[in-house]
Amino acid sequence: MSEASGPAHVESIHAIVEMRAAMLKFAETAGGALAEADSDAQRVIQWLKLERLPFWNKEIVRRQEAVQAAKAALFRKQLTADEFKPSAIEERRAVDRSKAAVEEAIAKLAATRRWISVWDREYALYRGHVQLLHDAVARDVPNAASRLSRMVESLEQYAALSTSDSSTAFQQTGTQTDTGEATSQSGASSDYQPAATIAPPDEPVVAEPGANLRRRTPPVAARASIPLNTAASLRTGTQTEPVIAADDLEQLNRLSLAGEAPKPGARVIVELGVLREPLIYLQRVALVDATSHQFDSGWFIGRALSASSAIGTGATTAAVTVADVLSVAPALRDVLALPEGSLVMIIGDRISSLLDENDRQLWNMEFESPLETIGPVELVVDQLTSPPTDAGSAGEIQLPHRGDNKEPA
Amino acid sequence: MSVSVGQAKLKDAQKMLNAKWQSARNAWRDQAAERFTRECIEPLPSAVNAAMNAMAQLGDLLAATKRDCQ
Repeated sequence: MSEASGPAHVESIHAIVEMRAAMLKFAETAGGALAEADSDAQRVIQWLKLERLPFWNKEIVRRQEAVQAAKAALFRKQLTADEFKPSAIEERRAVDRSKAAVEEAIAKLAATRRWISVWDREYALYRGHVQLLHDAVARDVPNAASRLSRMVESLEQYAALSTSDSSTAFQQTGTQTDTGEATSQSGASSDYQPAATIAPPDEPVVAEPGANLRRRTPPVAARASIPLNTAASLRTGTQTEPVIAADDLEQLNRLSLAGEAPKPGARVIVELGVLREPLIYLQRVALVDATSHQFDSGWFIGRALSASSAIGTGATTAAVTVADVLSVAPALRDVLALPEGSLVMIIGDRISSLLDENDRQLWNMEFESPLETIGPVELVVDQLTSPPTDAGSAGEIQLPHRGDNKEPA
Repeated sequence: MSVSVGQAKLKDAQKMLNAKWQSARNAWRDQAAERFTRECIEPLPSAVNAAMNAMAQLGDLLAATKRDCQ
């Protein structure tokens, strides 16, 4: 990702989901069409080589035999012919017909050989011409659909986080819904609520997750009772190592917020398997007793989901050491050095939020979109569950064409 | 499915994809969408058109071959 992108502006997840489905359907249909065409081409090549070629070879022999037979019949007729018997005109015509049949078979054999040569060349050319589409349906389109899937997943997770928040953003949602309904009743042509009637695109609603996430974090008093586990609690065996984008690490360092780096053996409380999640948060709680820093880092790492429910301290959480965390995710080293009270939210490999102990946003959110598809999570919240747009009313777009190829009529 | 049927299906699939993309693009207006357009959507029409032209030529060859060698 070398190109910066601004804030995400997504008004309907449904439209993205439908686009993803359409891409997969397109890949299936296009793949089927290519396979059938390819199969047709291979069938005709096989037909030429395995059926037509031997057929016309045999046919020439058979027809030449027919010529000999016709000639023999003519000869017999000529031997017995005299002025009182019928002429051999019919036999002569039969000889001519059989000779023409031989010539036709020879021409067909030549044509078959020529077409075999033509097909050897044309099939290779055909494969070259369809290679782009073949690659697209086999690789590019499914990859694009996966990008949309990851984007939808992130948006839904953030929507779940946002809609459980009772802060300003969701008070606005109620107003937005009322406004939207009024707009719809006043004659809007579609069920879809355009963003402008709810939140102008230039002023998207930005959910503030800090307070709710802090409520999820297990209380300080419970930390010591959570049993120590291994680094395996952090993730599953096959996942890739979590990373943080270099730009974000640079920004983090520029902020110069470093507090006391935790001791390698100090405890970190985690939700089980948390590092396989695309949307996580890390909070460093303030420890009551200064001597506790020897044994407890104060850090909690959890899923940035279900913000309304606090995390229990039972089977869903475990304690690991700072060294365990860094062995799995060394990119978190600078994050773990942040001071007490810090709360960091990470989406994919991007830091989307950094709050200080007073929930002040310290992070510049103008970063490139996480997961390669969305920008900082900044959504027109109540549009995320809006009904689909009326696809039929949307005109077909004219996608830019490359090269000189023209779409057949 | 003959080549001509495949061509028609391919054309319909492209139309459907265009319509869905129009809807999605109306609801998704940011730089990531622009990048997605550039990287994932824009290359498709030329690929589809090249394939449809090739399939049309393939159909002509099939007909001519059968006529000459039948």
